[in-house]
Amino acid sequence: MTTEYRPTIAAVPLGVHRPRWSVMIPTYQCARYLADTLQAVLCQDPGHDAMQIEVVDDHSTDDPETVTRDVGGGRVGFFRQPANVGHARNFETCLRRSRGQLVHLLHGDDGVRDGFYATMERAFRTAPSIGAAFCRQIITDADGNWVHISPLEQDQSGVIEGWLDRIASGQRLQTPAMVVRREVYERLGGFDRRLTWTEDWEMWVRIAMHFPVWYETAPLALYRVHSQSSSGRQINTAETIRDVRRAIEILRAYLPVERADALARQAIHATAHAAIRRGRRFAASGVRAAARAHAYEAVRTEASPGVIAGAARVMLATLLPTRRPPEAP
Amino acid sequence: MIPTYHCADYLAHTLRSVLRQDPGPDAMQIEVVDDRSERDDPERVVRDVGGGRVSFFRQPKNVGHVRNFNTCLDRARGRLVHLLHGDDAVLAGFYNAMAVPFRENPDIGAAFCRTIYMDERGHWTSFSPLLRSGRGVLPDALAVMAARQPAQPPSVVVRRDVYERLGGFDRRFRTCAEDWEMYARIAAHYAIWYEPAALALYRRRPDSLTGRGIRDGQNARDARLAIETYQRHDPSLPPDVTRQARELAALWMLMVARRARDARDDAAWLRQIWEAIRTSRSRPVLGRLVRESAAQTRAVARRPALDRPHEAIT
Repeated sequence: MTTEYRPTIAAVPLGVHRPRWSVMIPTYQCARYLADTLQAVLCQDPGHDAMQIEVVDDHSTDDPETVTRDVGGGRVGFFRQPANVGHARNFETCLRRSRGQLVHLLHGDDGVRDGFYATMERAFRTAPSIGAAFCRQIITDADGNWVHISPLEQDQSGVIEGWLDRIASGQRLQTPAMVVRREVYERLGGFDRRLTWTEDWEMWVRIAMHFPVWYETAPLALYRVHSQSSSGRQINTAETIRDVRRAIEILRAYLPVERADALARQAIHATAHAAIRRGRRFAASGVRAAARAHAYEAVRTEASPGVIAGAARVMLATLLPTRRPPEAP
Repeated sequence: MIPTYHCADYLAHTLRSVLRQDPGPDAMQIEVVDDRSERDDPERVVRDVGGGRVSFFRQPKNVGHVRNFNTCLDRARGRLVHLLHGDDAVLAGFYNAMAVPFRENPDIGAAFCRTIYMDERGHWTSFSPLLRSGRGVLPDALAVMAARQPAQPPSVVVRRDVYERLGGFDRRFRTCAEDWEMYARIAAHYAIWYEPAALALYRRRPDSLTGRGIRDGQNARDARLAIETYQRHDPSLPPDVTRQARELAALWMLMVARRARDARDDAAWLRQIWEAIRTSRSRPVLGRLVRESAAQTRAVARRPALDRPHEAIT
């Protein structure tokens, strides 16, 4: 399953202690949120034998090591990349360093609610054939205030029906909600190195191709949106939209032949419209360069009449005086 | 205090959410006050789930929800009163988070946290808006509370002596807004504490469209009554606050109209449109009204011929 772009995740050597859980916490310039993240995990810590907890820092300058030491008090491992490698490669390091059977990638600025680990573990016990399980997510602002909640995928917790078609037609969940069996990464490889922003989405599609996936209706994962997050930084340049297009081309090559084109078309359509919506928001808040970049990328993604009209409106809006003051950089 | 009326199916969830954070009978009175439900048996749920810890009072006859709330206040013995409807719930940590501000701050008359909305099966759907980041006393509480109802009842905790001084819920309200008028009344006299964490769950039930005065416009009359009542109580309230209140109330009626459109209830739709115009004619209201009317026209035109007997005949 691995190719030159999909790094091999080797099995844990025999003789190494295998806890049930690996909570791998990638960080980059988010030390001020890390204490909350660590506390959310530690207050449901089943103990050293059952859970590995490790912060994997991508060579930040804001000293997450002190936070890890202060909050973790020796319970939480810390690994620092010798040089900055970018967040997708840092995820790869997280997978390599994990020793548990279930891997939870929890960004150092996200969180979990009480009961996350017990509930998700129950899913893997109830349905041992599943490769991964995810729950509903609460999206928070920079201060951790709850803003909204991800849509309900199905009425009851259980193996999710028609998941491949749903996840292949567009990203619909945030990383902290997902728990994956380590074996799955060992078999399917790590995150695709060609991707810088949508590597998680491509991975969830790849998993959906090969394994049943469980859905938990309780909203137990917290995803923080703030301007310093890596998504926040890349969004400004519309690089995210180009990355989604790259991911769609990668998926198209391995999705079931009879559905690949239809699913790719849906994903392209959704991406173009997402770019327009984002462009409109940038135009409204006066960030004109970002608005134009998104209008341009929308048309490059799907040159349909609806998208062209939407992009034209965004372009026009960037020429008009703004109502709101520009966001602080 | 847990008022109930035909919600025994949800009551076990409500009671468990309280009992999980029960500090003991010396620190907390827990009582279900039933408005003589006929279709279900809340007493059995109280016995099964409460196991002697939760007391039960049954109205000798059905008195309507506003009077039942007042019975709750009458029967409350604690210093802090939490009216928790028998189909709503609280998250872990609610009572701790809401008790602290009263201890630290003797001036506040009420405290409220954000509300989580859930559907009839208990799935969360959205959160009440964030008024400000960080907990604390609301600087412009009256303007905030008067312009809109910023939280649902399960989010609100009130000192009992506040009710003793200001009175109970206004019995003129028949369908809704009695709580809104109460919060505005409290805000006119006391400081209000705001907790931005969402710790209370409010259930939106689909049957709320029928029977709650949507077809005869009682919901709109109640909303206007709330605005007029607190305006009369506090004439110093700036007119733009009440203007904003009327605008938001009218927008809410248009939202109800939209739900009536989805439910194909044309009588309710027309009534809500009419009530919205009577309540406010601000630009956002008129704009939304035009769009809603256009959407209703399209929806009616798309209906199959069977739904339109006049066309079926021709």
